[in-house]
Amino acid sequence: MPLGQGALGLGVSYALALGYLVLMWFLGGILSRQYPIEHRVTWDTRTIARVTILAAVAGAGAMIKIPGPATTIALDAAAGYFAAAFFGWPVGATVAAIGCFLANALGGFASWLPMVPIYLAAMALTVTIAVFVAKKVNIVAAIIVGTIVNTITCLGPWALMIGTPLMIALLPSQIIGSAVNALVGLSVAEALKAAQNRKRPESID
Amino acid sequence: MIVEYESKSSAVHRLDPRVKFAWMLAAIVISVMWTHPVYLILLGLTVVGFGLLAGFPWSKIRGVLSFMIIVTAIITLVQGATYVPKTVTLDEPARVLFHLIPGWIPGVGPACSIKVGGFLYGIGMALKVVTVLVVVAIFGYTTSPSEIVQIIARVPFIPYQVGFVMSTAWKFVPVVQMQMRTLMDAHRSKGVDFEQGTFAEKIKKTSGIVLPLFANSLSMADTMALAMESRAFGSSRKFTFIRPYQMDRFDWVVLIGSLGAMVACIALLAVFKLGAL
Repeated sequence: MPLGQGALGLGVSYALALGYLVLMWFLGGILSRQYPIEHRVTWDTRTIARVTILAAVAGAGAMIKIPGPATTIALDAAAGYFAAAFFGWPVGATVAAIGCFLANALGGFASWLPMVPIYLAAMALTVTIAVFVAKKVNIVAAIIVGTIVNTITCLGPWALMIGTPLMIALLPSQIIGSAVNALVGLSVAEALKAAQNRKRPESID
Repeated sequence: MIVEYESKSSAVHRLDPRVKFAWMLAAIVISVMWTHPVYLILLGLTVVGFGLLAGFPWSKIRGVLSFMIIVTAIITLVQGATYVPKTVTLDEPARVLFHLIPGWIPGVGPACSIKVGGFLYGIGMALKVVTVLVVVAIFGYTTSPSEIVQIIARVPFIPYQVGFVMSTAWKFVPVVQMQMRTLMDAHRSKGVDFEQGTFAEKIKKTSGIVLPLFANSLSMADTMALAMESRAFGSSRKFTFIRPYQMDRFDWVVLIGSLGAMVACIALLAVFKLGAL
């Protein structure tokens, strides 16, 4: 039985979003303890500048449209995945959340404004889980898990509020969009990491 | 934004941005609380009145509204077919209003019955979505992006770094977009056609822009960090705003009216079920 788009439905959805944040802190804490070099972040000026620019990339990414089989896909979440894999989960979660806000704001909050805080928490959790799986298993598993988590966390509250029939109709576009963003964000981070670690040819030095 | 900000001298444009934000918040909260379509129509009319006062260009949201009306019509029909709400105003919420597949179609009809309760609830939900869309559009039309960020930066419990990140990121979006266009032009000049090919090929082509875009962003971030440190960013927690806001009498009237209406609506709903379906 759907809860509706009223106070009850929205209240339960916000409670879910709070759960997303708790899960994010829990998994992020494990990452910070086990991989302190990569995932323990100092919030200095450099980190703030990186978050700023990557959030702007996420906002601009909403305008990169790839015509897909189910719908047009925007690359608004790729920067969050990239930041989480490249600079650690705290930076990634912040970029994902602020980038999601910017992308929504630039689109005029067309997808019902009261849901935006839930999307922010969902995106922060998604990139943290993706980078957790990437560290523990591999990047392919991270893309699959990231896609599933993103789909469930974003559509789950809607399914609670207005029921599953409409959500089933939205599933293909959501899954494809999430998968492409995870693929692009995580693979670009891997490529740049590899480029950083590669020894420069002597002719350049 | 759906409708870009326009600098005008209307009464709504002249309002303090914080007051406009409070009005938007109050309208959204009321739309979430109420489920009765009649009450939501009244709220919608109030919002339209506010828009008229602001000289809102209604023709600019015609396209978005047309799309939303199709989406919300589907929501209404799905709710009507699948959901029977608990109501305080309807005697028979499960009464069948009509059938989506009428009885005169042999073999299948009548089927997909639309119930009164679910249908009215669906109309209410559609009105909520459209009202919030219009409220946000009016807010965006009357409040400049920099003022919106100023409001976020002035929220007491949010660290000032968050305000800085949001305002700067907002301003950097066009810069990143310009870089993106340059990269796309560079690829096009090498013969890459972003519109052609299979879906996988299109992703591969787009990745060709994303990789240098991220690499450029990292160097841009380092330059920005240097500029911030050279201006001693973060050395002091005391800071001032370029434009200090001053509330006048009309601001206070709108602020108290908005917040008062919100509190009254919540209280009346809780005590007398006013606004509930």
